Amino acid sequence: MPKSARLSAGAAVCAALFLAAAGCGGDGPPAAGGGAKGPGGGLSGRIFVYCAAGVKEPVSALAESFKKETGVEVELTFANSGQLLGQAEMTRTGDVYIPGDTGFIDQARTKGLVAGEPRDFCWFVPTILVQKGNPKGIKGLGDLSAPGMRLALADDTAAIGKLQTRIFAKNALDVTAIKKNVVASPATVTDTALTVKMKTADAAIVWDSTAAMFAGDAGIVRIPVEKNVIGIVASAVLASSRNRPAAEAFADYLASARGREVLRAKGFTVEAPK
Amino acid sequence: MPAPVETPERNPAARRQHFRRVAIAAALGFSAFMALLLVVDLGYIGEFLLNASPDRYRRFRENIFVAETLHEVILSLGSATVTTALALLVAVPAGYALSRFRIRGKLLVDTLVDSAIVLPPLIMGLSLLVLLSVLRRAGEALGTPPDPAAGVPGRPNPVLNSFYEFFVYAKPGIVLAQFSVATALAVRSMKAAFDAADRRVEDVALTLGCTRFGAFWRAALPQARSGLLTGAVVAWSYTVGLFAPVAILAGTVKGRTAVLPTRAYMEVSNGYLEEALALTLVMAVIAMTVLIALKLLARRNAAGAEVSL
Amino acid sequence: MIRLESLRYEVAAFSLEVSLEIARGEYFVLMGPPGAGKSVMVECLAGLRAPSAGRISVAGRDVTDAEPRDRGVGYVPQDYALFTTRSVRDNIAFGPQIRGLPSGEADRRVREAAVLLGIEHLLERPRVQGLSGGERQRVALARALAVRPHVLILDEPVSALDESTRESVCAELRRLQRELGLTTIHISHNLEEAFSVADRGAVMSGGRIRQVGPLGELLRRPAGEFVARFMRCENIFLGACRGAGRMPATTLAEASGAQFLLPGERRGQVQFAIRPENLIVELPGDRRERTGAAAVPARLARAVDRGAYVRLELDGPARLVAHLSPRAFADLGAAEGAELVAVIPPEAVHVIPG
Repeated sequence: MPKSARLSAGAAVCAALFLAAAGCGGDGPPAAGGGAKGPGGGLSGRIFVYCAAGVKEPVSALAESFKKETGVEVELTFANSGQLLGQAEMTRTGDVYIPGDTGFIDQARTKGLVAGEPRDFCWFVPTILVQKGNPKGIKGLGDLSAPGMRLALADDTAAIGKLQTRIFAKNALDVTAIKKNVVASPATVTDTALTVKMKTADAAIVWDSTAAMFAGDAGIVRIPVEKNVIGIVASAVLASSRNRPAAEAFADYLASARGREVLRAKGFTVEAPK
Repeated sequence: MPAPVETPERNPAARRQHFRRVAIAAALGFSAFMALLLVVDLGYIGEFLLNASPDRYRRFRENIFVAETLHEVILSLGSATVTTALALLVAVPAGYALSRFRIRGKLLVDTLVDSAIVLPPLIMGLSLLVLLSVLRRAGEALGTPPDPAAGVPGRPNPVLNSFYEFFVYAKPGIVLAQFSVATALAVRSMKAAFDAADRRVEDVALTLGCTRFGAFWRAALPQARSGLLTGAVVAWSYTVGLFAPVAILAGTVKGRTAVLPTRAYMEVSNGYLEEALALTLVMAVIAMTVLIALKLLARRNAAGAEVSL
Repeated sequence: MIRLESLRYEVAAFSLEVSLEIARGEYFVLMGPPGAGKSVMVECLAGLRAPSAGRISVAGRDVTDAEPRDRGVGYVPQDYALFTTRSVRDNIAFGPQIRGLPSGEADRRVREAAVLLGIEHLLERPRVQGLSGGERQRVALARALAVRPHVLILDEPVSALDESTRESVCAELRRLQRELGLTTIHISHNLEEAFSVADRGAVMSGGRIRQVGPLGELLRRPAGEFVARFMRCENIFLGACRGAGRMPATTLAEASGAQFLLPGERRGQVQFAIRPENLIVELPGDRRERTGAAAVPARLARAVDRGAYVRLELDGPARLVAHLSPRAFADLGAAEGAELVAVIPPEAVHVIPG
């Protein structure tokens, strides 16, 4: 076979693979939802959801069960909350926006992107993760500044990092003493939790859902609500939605009893902590 | 004055050997560095798999050994291949023009091509998004306005609107995002290849009976073949790992527009480093296989000629 | 055969402006220093550059706006520009094939050209890499000839070859041209090479043709100082006429403090050239009576044996260069520093028209 023929054969195979991949996705313009009410008065079509990377797990799980129950295809695109806001603003496309922090919804609202009220559906509760059996006898935030305590605190760029700073301020803790105890500042909450599991740190501040993941390998010390600063995850239906009923239904679903059940099963907090 | 001593430094043959060793050490050193990275990744995953709790292992399994991963692999390879083909389709004539023809404002043209490489990839993607949004807005302005009395909604200009519908949050968007960056790289390597090719050969071809296109096709392009392969390798390898502009323009919708690099990024943002590394390794192995195949093909075609990759 | 009429071409600060006619079957050599515009001119002729004004005709046909392929011009550039990705056979067959000749005819042309250049044994080489300089040149020539051009352009065809093979290659080119009766333009900046191949030629500089004519005329009757210098006429003087000489139809002229006798009757300022080989050099004591020649006292500053001749550099009122046969130099028996006399008959002096 001449070389050019071989090259073009290779290219043809690759193109075919690509087309195959293109085919098996049911491609088409997003949110071209069309008829909101399908036969039988149910919902139909698809919705396009901007979802913060940090809440990928629960939202993915809910999108799947929502599809099973309603037949609505939920397309989730993930990125950080800021980029998603930019995409929504630029494209004026998409049905639901789920940032990692409600502050972004306020921003979206001032830009006129949001339709209706946002719905809180998940609470990210900062929690102290300690080694299994709590050998250091940690009882609360106050113990974090004790001399000799080895702390893992996520980097400020992580969402938990921002909240823990606010928690220290709220409780007027000795930040200098706490900083002195820090032995690791991982970039993600998972890595932060990992240090306690690996016993390279005595305590870490992580989400309650993260702590739940490590329940077998570590202990949990809760921070009282009045001393805590809690991250709220909310969804907002976008003004650009072309499948408004399905978008509303999905936002409702996230906060519904059924949604809570799914989230709770995954270790998330689904009621505003009292 | 001390008598001259026959040290290795004074012996030209030994000195040449010395330089040869240093040069080879540089090449081996860097490839060993890359190998080390991959091996350490592999070790990290191995250690994780040995120690992972059953739940954690199940999550890993459910995110790696699934149909989506295969879909993402195929989409990554396929889009990179389609992109490379399109990029070369533009880069070959463009590189030729930049190398051969006198163009008014060539310096500016050349620099604009480079700007696609200089701009952060994320900004390239954002700019594409801005362009398509502007097109759509223009389409809305030029379309038929809504008629509230009859309850008929407005219709955007179908042509302008179709660009937006075609690319944004859709697979063609992956290719568009990759194309914008890869083409600049391909143009660079094609221009370099045509610069290095003897233009007298084209002149001779013209006098022997070729048209301008014939001289390009039969005389210039065969000489620039090595550049064509280099361009393809560079464009393809860069494209296959490209993440930011793809994510912003095409989105990261699972099973639709998520490619391997965007998924790996998602896993990192969720703290699942092991999944991200596993995907990266899958990608590295596949990409290296493709590149080796391409290079072997090039070597066989070269058959003693000047092609080297 | 070839006519260039007020051809103009500009690129950056360089401008070409030439008119030239070359007869059918002529071997024409285009000389000049690098940057004179020789290559640019033949590239215009071949259609590789578009002139801004003027007309070009080849074989009686106006080809000013014709494509390179429709001009009947064969082109062999300096580096031969072989197709490096093709075999020797495919290089030669390129023209016939691209012009759509039936394969039988194309094969015949390839064989014919290969036989003509004595490279049949190279035809089966799969690549042109590894051919010697001379072989490459032959392949390039065969490739150009296979399309049977009216005109063959050779741009510095032997400058890439080593000294020892140049002469034989030049003889070969000459033979080939005679055999085919092919109108040939050969670019060269080497005088020996030019004289070994051509009948007629032109000297170019700065994008202009300074002089066209038979090579002997360029040599002995340069039309200007530039051509004189290019033809290595080293004795060029600017003098003032001082009245008639003792012989009829001669003029006495003074230049650089020495007296010369020029042919013809002249007045005012004149520029004249004396070819080094036309100087007669004698010892002062030997001096015979030569009423009809100028005699310039000269001291031998340096003598360099060039094999075919000895080059003498003479100091005196006028600095002179003389070429003597080795035998004449031996007979002279002069060492460096010796006092000599340079005898210059008026017929050895060429007055440059000005």
